[in-house]
Order: sequence, then structure tokens, then C-alpha cells
Amino acid sequence: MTKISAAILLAMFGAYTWDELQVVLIMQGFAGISLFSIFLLMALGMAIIFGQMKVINMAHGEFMTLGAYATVVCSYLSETYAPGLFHWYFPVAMIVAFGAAFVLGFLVEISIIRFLYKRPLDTLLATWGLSMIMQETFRQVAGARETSATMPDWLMGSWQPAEGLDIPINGMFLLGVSVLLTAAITINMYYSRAGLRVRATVMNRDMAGAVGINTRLTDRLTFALGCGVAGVAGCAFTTVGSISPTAGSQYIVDTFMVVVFGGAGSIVGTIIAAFTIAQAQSILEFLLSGVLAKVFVLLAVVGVLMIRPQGLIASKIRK
Amino acid sequence: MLPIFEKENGMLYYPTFYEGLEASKNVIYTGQEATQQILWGLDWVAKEKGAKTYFLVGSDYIWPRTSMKIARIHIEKHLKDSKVVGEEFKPLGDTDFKTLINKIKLAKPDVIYTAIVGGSNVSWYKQLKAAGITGESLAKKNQTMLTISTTEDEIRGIGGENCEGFYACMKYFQSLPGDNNTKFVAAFNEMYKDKYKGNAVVGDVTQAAYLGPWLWKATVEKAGSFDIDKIAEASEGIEYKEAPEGYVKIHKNHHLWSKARIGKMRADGQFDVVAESPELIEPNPFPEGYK
Repeated sequence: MTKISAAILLAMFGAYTWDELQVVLIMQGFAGISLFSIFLLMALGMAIIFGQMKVINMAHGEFMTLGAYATVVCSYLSETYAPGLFHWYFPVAMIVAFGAAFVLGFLVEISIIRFLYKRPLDTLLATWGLSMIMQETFRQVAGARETSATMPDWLMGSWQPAEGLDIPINGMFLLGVSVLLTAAITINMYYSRAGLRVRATVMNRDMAGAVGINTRLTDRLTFALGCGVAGVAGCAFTTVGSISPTAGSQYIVDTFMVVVFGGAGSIVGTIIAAFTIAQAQSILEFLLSGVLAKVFVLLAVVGVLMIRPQGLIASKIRK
Repeated sequence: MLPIFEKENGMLYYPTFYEGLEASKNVIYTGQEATQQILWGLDWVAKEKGAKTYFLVGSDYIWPRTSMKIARIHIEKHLKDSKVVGEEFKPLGDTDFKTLINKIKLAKPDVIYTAIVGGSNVSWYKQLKAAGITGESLAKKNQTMLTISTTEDEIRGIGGENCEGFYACMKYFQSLPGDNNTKFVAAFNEMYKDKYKGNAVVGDVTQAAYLGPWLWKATVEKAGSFDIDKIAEASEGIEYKEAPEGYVKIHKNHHLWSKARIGKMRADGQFDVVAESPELIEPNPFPEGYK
């Protein structure tokens, strides 16, 4: 595969030396991987929620934005009141982002979502409304301008293992965060009591209730966890993207695509989907153009879903 | 918008840079139209930096599309031995530029010429820096990044540390010398002191918006009436000598005569003005040979 693509590239970029091409191909490979980690981060929270309770959280993007704004606040506070600690504020910001989104998610579950479990389509509408309320709240509180969290030096610039080869540090950071977060969620879901309760509730809600699992609390915590993960993703994205009241709506389409393509709610499916879409997107963009790549990727996803509506990996649930 | 203003016979003072190909009795365009912003800036980079190859990058909507079309024609037809080695547009709001940056690295253009807007701007600059492309690294290779879409306003969101050493072609920068501008910036800071604590940022578009009411006032005084038809009639030749950007005059096509300027971005989010067109540039919203 690499040989073929290298040959194709040689034909396309015959004017370049092999060294130049090699460097760009390595960077391009990394670009694909870092897009993968972005997609994965975006989709994890939604996949957890969708998998557990079949609620599509249209406000997912806004929970990310909340995490991003939490990061801005942390960066501001640390710059103003504790410049000595500024270097290391980012991990703290991540925890704050998680906490803020988790708490808000918990409250949203109590006040809105729990009344709508029997009406899945209405949760779509309700969370969409919620997303607009959140956007307008951000606009009122933080203003409509784009803002940025000030990055500590260690998160900026590039790592240069060789001449002309620049590996973005923020890209490696995103990759690290997404790997750790995925691992944490997997462990939580498959190797902990809490995860056992979640899985039991998903498989058979009544039976889980009968053996003494508090299914309502499980729902509540899962929803809050999904939102919290979105908050962490939002925090991580401040290293590469912008923060504005509507920033979340830019992510929701890709997020939704990854989750549905992967097979609703399966973590493995989400990982595979994120990887496939990210690689397809970045390779096509390299060979064609950004807009065309988006068109072809969307067409391919639609095509696959027509043949396999349940997504790549379907979760086995007794219906 | 335009049909409504024309139907209801209202008056719009429209302050942003835009693609041209438009003129209306009911609109006064106080920003730069495309040719005012693009042609002189390209001439500058060709002359000062000896640029021959250009990579054009924009967000995917009408203003960057039209701007890049004009830029391409100018580069290919009017700049000696110059060519466009790449042209790419990214969806509005897109936040992933790593692949595009790799393509630019491979193409090694003398000039990266950009019109990226909104949230994408932040991602673009952050990812450039993360890929090792900074004003300093470009200067070493005698490359230049010139933008027509990043003002002080955007840099506030991007962070000056990500922008240092890149160039922008605008008609106004907050750091312009001259009494008009010094007074204007001081007054702006005074007015919004509660909000910005003396650190208000004024960009090209803000200044163009500020011109609107003054031009309208002068026009009403000349016409001696608030009547829209009379204002539209009287607009041609209206001058505003106290304009922060220096001096502007309304052309009969309802655009402004303005100067174009090149600014170099600083880490503090302001620009060093490094060049200025010697004369006011005539607005030409329907440029012959550029369509």
C-alpha cells in the first residue's frame, strides 16, 4: 500500500526529491492520525450517551464549547493570579472542564432528559433547543468574539526530529489525550462495577432494576459522564481551534457522522469509524482538495450506511 | 439584503471588505472592494520580496473565491514571470489545516496569500505555528505570508504569538500614525474604558464602520435633507478629512477612495505599518479584465 501510494505521489510530485517527499509523507501520516484523535475525542462522549440510552445529544457541541470556555477562564485566572503555575494550568483546566460539563450534564438529565426517555425523537428536539440556549448564554456572558486560551510554551510549536520535519506538539498532545481518555472509558465500562451497572442497564433495564441496580441513577451518571468527556474534548481542542459561542455547531456534524458510522454506541466501532473517516479525509484532501475530500467522504459514509444501516459494529442488544 | 434596501429605498453604509461586482444607489461601501485591497498588495509583495510563486488559500464562499480569482488573474497576467502554484478553499468554520499546510510545504511558494475567515482563522494560525511555519521561519527562506482577512480584531482571538511576522494588506491599522487616528483610538478607548480597560482593539472593519455615520452627516448637510434620494444623489464627492485612516472621498460608484497599506503583525497583536500606497486608490467594483 505504501509503495503504491508512494509511486502515485512520485508521479504527481515528480519534481520533488525523495527526501522532501518522505518528510511530507511522514507529516501527512501524522496529520491523519491527529485528525483521528480529534474525531475520536469528539465522538466518545456522544457514543457513551447514545449507546446507553439512545438519546442523541444535539447539545454535545455546546458541552465541548463549555469545556473550552472553562479552559479560557482557567488560563485567565492562572495568568492573573498565579503566573508561577501558568506553565501547568492546562491539566487543571482539563479537570475543571470535565467537572463543569459533568455537573451541567447531570442537571440537564434531571431537568429535561429523564422526562423524555420514552420519546427518543423528542430528546433530539429538546437537546437541540438546549444547544441554542447554551449558545446564546455563551454569547451573553463571553461575547460574540472569537477568544483564545493563552497556551503555555510547552504546548506550542513543533518537534523537529530531522531537518524540515515538523511534528506538531499540539497534535501529539491531542493524540495522548484521546488515547488516555479512550483507555479510561474502556476500563470504566468493562472492568469496573459502575461499568457493569451501565452494561446491565443497557442489556435489560427491567432485569437490572430487579437485581437492585438503580437504573435511573445509572442513566444520570452516564449522561453526565458523556457530557464531561465532551468538556474534556472541548478543552483539548483549544490547542488547535478557536472558541466562540457557535464553535460547537462546527463539530456536531462530524461527531454525529462518526458515531452513526461506527455503529451507535459501540466504543470499538467509534474508534474504527473515527480512524477510517479521518484517514480518508486527510488522504483525499492531500490528493485532491479540502472541499472535494469532504464531499467524497460524506458520499462514502452515506453509501456504507445504506448497505449497513446499523453502522460498522452493531451492539448486541436484546430487543 | 440589497433587494430589501432598494425596494424600501433605505440607505446602508456597508463597512467590510467585500468581493465587488456590485454598486447600488442605496449603499455606500465604506470598506475596500476587492481590487483596492488585492492589486496593490500583490504588486508590493512582488516588488519588495521579489515573489514569483503564489499559493492561494481561502474559506469557501463568495468573497475569498472572487478575491482569489482576481488575485490569480493579476499574478498571471500582470506580474512578470509569476505563477500560482496552488489554490485551495476550505469549508467555512473548518478547523483542520494540517493537510493543507503539508501541501503548502511541498509547493514551497514565495507567497502564501490568504483569505480565511472566522473560527477557521484561529485554527489556521495555531496549526501553522505547530507545523513550524512562523514569520521568522518564512523570512529565513525568503517566503512571505500575506493575508487580506486578518485584522487586529481577529488577532485578539488568535493570539499575537501565533501571528508574529506575517503580513496583512488593509486600508487601516490601529497603529497608523497621524493625529486623526491617535485622537480616534484615544476616544474609542475612553468610550469603552469599562469594557476594555484601555486595551480596546480597533480593526480595519471597525474603522470603516465608524466612517459611515460621519459620511452620512456630511451628505445630509450637503443635501440639506434626510430624503434618501437626495442623499444618494449628494453622496458623490463627499469628503471626510478627519477619517482615522487619513482622508476618504466618496466615488460616484458609491465606494470610497482609500489608500492601501501593508502591516506586519507583532506579538502584541498590533501591526507595524511597513508600506502605504502613495495615492488614494480609485474604487473599481467592476474591474475590466478581472472577471
